[in-house]
Amino acid sequence: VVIKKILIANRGEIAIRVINTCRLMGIKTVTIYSEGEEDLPHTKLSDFAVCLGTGALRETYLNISKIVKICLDQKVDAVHPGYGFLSENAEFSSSLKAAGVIFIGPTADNIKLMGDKIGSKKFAASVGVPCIPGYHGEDQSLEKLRSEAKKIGYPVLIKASAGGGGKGMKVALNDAEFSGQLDSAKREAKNSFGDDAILLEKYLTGPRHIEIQMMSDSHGNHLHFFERECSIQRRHQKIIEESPSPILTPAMREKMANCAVKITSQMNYLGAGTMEFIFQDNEFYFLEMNTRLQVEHPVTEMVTGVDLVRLQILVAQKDKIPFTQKDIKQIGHAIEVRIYAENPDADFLPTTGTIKYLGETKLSNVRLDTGYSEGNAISIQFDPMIAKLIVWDEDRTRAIAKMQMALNDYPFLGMINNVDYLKRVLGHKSFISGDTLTSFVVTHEKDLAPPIIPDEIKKVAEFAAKFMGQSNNKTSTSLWQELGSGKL
Amino acid sequence: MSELKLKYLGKIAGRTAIQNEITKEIYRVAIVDVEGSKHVSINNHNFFLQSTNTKKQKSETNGPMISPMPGKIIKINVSKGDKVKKGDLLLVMEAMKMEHSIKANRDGNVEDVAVKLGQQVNANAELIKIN
Repeated sequence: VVIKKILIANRGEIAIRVINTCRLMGIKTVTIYSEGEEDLPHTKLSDFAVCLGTGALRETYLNISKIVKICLDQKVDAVHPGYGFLSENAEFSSSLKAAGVIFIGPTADNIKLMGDKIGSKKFAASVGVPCIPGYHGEDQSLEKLRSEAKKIGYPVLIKASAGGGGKGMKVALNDAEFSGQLDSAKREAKNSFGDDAILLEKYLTGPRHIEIQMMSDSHGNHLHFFERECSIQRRHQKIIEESPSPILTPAMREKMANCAVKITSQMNYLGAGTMEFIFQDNEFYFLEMNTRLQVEHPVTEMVTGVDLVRLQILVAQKDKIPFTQKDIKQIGHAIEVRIYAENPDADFLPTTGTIKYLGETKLSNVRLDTGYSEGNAISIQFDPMIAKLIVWDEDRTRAIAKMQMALNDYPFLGMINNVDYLKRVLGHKSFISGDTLTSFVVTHEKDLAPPIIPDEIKKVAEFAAKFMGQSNNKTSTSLWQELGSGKL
Repeated sequence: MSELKLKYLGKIAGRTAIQNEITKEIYRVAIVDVEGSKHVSINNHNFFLQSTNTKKQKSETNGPMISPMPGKIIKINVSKGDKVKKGDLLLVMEAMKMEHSIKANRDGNVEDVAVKLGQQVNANAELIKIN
């Protein structure tokens, strides 16, 4: 098979990311969008764009039968699901298969095994990969869950069994708050995933989040692309990711990667995936496997020089990965930050508005992945992530310095956002020293409060406001007038 | 504050270049209008020129409870006439599938519940009045 036309069952920056690789491979793309999204770039950068109509997500981006029908109408060879939406939906993958369309991702069996948080841990343990103590049982009664929480020992993490992205995830510090936190987790789980089954886990007090990028083909090659550390999180969602991890020794890196490869090879995995681990006190525990491309995959692309979407497409058409494990090198240091429409100084609550000035940079090895352009509104219907900014440099210190500059160049003006907050995290002495635990933003909350803006800067702003209406040409016009009036 | 004598230099890369003629320092300013205030980026500072935060903070301790974000009301714990204590859970909102709890900002009686279950509200919408 040779894939010649792909439907991208997603939106925003990831749709554009996939389009870019397809253009380089000579593959035509079809994007989909819901009514009201006509102004967004992903509806115009593809070769074909089809409207999904209007309504809730289940009527549009989550509507399997509608998307399969568009695939048939458009005669596409394959579907790239991006991340989120239907990317880890086994039914979607089987429906496409039944319609004769390739799903660019793992097999339905792969998705089912790893999508089940309980089953995936049992599988990992069965191939000798360490797991966190917890309760993954079928009995979901309050009494049972409560007694299991006691057995595990507080603090306990309550998680949606079907979850991801921090949704339906709560910490109970003690027995008194357990039932309240359980209710809240169940409600979020029900709303987000339509399933309120819960699992419990020991909540580690000083962990890091480290994950391994995986890629497997259908010829028995199960490769890894080293780690990403994603410990800087708020509301259990990652906001800064980097590779290499500042903590891993070469020996520990190899040990973790070997465990990750053990899982993909034993389950006969296909395509891109991420093995997530929790790391504390030189021990690591398998957390879950995401059977899709991750938001933070550009970090890996920057340090390895590999286009992961290209590899996804190649292995989906049954090609062999065109290199071996020893060819993959981790060079220099890459950092990604996620720019969100949210207020870090008010509990990170989502904000809305219109992007009026995005920014631009002239720095090298800086990548901005965004689904928006100036004039686009950020609505509450979708995830509040407005962009990812990724930089590469020769070492971590220089990568941090470059990211500070790149963030200055991309302020995303028009709504309260987290750009300044990210800069404060990157500038914090604990971040700089690599002391990055998942509790970072809470531990350093006081240090990360917004600084006072100097009066001088405010005066400059007030002065600049007077020239807001001026266009670029205006100066040249007045210069022309000056020239014309014989001043030179 | 050091002495300022500002001069408009023109536009560069979508920004307004301003120079302090005394120190010769150049500031590249990006500035946009957002609902009456100015959102500004200057060198390494991003900020709102007329901060709306001060107004909001005041209402958090004196006025009615307002929504901190746009979202949907998914749980209401109190009704008109209920006695509440500061910190009591009044209602739960949801946006982007994230829950946010609205707690009482002081002791008192619930004078009015301005929202209904399932209702979509804007940021800064009045939710509950406590007297």
